[in-house]
Amino acid sequence: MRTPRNTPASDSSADGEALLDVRGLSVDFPVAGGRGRTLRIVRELDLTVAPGERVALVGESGSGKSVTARALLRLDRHAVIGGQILFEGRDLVTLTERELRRIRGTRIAMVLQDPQTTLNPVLSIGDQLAETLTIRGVPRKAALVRAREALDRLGVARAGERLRAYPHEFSGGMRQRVCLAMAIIGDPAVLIADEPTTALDVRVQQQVLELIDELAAESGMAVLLITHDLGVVAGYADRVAVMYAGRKIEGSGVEDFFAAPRHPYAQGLLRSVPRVDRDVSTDLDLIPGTPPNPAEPPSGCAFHPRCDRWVERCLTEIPELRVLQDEERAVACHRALPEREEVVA
Amino acid sequence: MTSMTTSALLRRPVLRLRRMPKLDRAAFAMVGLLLLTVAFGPLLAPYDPYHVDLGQAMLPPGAEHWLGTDSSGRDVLSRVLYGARPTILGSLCAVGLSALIGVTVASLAALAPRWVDDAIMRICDIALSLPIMVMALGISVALGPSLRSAIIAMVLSWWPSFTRLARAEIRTTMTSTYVESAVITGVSRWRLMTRHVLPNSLDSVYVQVTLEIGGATLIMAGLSFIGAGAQPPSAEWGAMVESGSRFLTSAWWTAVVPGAVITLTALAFALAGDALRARTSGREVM
Amino acid sequence: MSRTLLAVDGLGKTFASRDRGEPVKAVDDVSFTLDQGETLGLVGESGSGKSTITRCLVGLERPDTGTVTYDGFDVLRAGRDERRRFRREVQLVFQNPYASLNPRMTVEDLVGEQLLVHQGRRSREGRRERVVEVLEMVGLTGAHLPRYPAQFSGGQRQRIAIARALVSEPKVLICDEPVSALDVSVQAQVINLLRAMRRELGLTVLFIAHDLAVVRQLCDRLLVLKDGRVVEEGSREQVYGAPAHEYTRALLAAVPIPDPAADRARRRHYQESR
Repeated sequence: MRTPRNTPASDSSADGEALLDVRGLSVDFPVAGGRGRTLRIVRELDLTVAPGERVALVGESGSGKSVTARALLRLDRHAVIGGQILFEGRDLVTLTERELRRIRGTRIAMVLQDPQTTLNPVLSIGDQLAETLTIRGVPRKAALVRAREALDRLGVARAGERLRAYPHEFSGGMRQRVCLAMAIIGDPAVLIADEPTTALDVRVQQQVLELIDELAAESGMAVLLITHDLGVVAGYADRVAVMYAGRKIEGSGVEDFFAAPRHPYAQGLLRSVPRVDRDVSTDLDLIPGTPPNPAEPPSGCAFHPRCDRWVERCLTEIPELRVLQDEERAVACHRALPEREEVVA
Repeated sequence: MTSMTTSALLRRPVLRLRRMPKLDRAAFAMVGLLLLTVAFGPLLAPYDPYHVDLGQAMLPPGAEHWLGTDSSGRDVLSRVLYGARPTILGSLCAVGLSALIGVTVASLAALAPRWVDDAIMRICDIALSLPIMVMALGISVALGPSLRSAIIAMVLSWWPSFTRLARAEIRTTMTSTYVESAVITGVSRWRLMTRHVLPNSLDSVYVQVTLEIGGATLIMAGLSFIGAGAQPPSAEWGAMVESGSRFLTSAWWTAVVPGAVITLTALAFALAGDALRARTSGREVM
Repeated sequence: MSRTLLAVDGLGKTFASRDRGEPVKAVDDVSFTLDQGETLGLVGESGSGKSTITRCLVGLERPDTGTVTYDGFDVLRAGRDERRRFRREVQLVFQNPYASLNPRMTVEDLVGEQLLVHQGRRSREGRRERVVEVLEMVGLTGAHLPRYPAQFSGGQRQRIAIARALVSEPKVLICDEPVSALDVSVQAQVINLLRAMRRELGLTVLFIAHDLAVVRQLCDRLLVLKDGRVVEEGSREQVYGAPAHEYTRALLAAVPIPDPAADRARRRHYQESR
């Protein structure tokens, strides 16, 4: 059973111990047939991950959370990335493709949402696992041995036999374990998990998340968990960053966040989640409207059309992400300071 | 999930001429020009295409006759303009009718019991395995060579390919949730097909029609060339090439001009079809 | 007193296995009743048979065994008129609003289709009036009539789908995972809408879902399915408070709670009660 680790619930990177330090990240995509026009999907994003830390990046569809995750490894060829992604003293934004390839998979690994499409259907599990190592010069025999060890570590029974199996012979949960094995086989410093359990049943979700947790605890690997599920955040992260319309709007330690989120969107989101441990007598308290279209974000604070606390200023001025006084959290809201606690049920 | 919605958003599904690549634009313009010729060609023709004047025979292109005259002294430009109708209209008819029959048969097959469906598809397989030109030639000879029999021949050999295409598309659409939703609603089979299934299945058929018109033009001209289609002295491009080919050394324009027009037509429709396909396949209707 | 509106008895459906091997029993001897005015939750993971049960109920699949009785008549062997009545009075809302609306039809045609099919006598104006009425019920307006599904967000599409189901004034609404494809903030809106509709229209609801947290917000009674069989049945208080079956406990223990303290406490609770 996992216990919450004691990591400083700090959001600043000033302490200099960050393993991954993202500063002012922006991601633009060219508009198809738009004659060089681009669309900014992620804006001015700061994010730090300390060694061994579990950070969750939360948001709804269109918030830019997945784009951010993919941008960290520059996986979208068409994306134009701005800002800095500092990792072990190097800026991933300026690295050549060749240098980046040496980091991908070995230093920073990634698990995607859909294990079905991540695995190549015509290669055996063993071949795919070993490939991660052989392309880096590990002899095939040794690679297969390590592949077997990786499966063993992930609790895949009869690992030796399973190496010869093909992806379609595995269940969804098993496939995600294989993907995890592929990710950790190179002993990465950071694991980026992009909605790793969204396609899975709830019991399998729990198993996979707990596996990630155990692996991280064993090897000191840091985890960046991309998810839309606040429940998952509560159970498997030390710190949380909430995204809305391409921006980070709140960042803090998990305990603080769930005790009392400060951004109106984060508050509304938390109230909207149905809870399995509670009956509702009244209707769920909700945020009106829908998340904005990234192509046409509202003026000023992108959340103002759905906010019940907006003032004149919210319509014109984009709120900056500021660290709150006496608190280890940052919020991007003009109205975050005065209100307190009224949301906690 | 986010990246998917984003990429769908970045795609502009609307067919916009201004945003099109130059080649696509040229293809669509050429198709438009050809269709205009079909409609108004005879009005534009400077001479009577059937007026024989042996004194004016085999004149090279010049001020009087822009594209020269043929061995009977008929104006080549006028004959090419007149010839657009039998050649292109004939191909349009042949492909259009084939598509119509194909889609109808495919719809019936989709609604029929399994064994009827299977039987129809096997018939299509057999028909498809016969080479189209040979089959068309046989039919054309049996019915007596004429433009009409060329069209009939082409339709007879072509509908199975449209049936196959439409059946595959319909099969996919039939499994979609909105079709199931309509089934649950209890709509009639007619409404199910016309409102729910066909509008969501025919994109690729439209594309195929456009693509095939080019090929059909070639076959139509080819049938005329070998004497199985439109007969001389009618102004049909294939027949023109055939009669001109005898004078290739002395009066090259009599064969090369209609030949070039045939090539251009086939090319224009093929390119336009390709452009359409790129546009529809990259599009999610959702 | 509530009376039974829909009764399923001994439902079974076996599919031939895709590769060689044993045929798969998707649904195995499932029985339950749906009383007027209640909301029954059908809960299970993928492969539990809940979708097959839904498909059998609405006639997209024919069960191998068992009967479905609606308001006194046998649905599977019903005559034409009774079947029409069933189709009008029992409506289905699908899981994925991106797939369940015909992209080539306007909102007016989508929502009005029921009326056209079942009450063809109504004039176009009469139909439109009713369509607008239902659209307003679900939080849309008459201005949306000429638009196509692509112009709406997921939440709005699900509202259109709900309007489509409600237009013929059904008695029973079958909801097949109606919010699982939606964003969290939009999910809450649709859950609220369903609660409001149930209250205002006195609907009887069969709610199929995998998400136990969502089910808790909506259902009076639950049926937990595993591998095509019912493993637990009970009221909401019973199932959530004191789950009897091992499987139900495991499911409940696995649902994450957006509250770190409660999450830890809950895990301890279900682990001890094992």
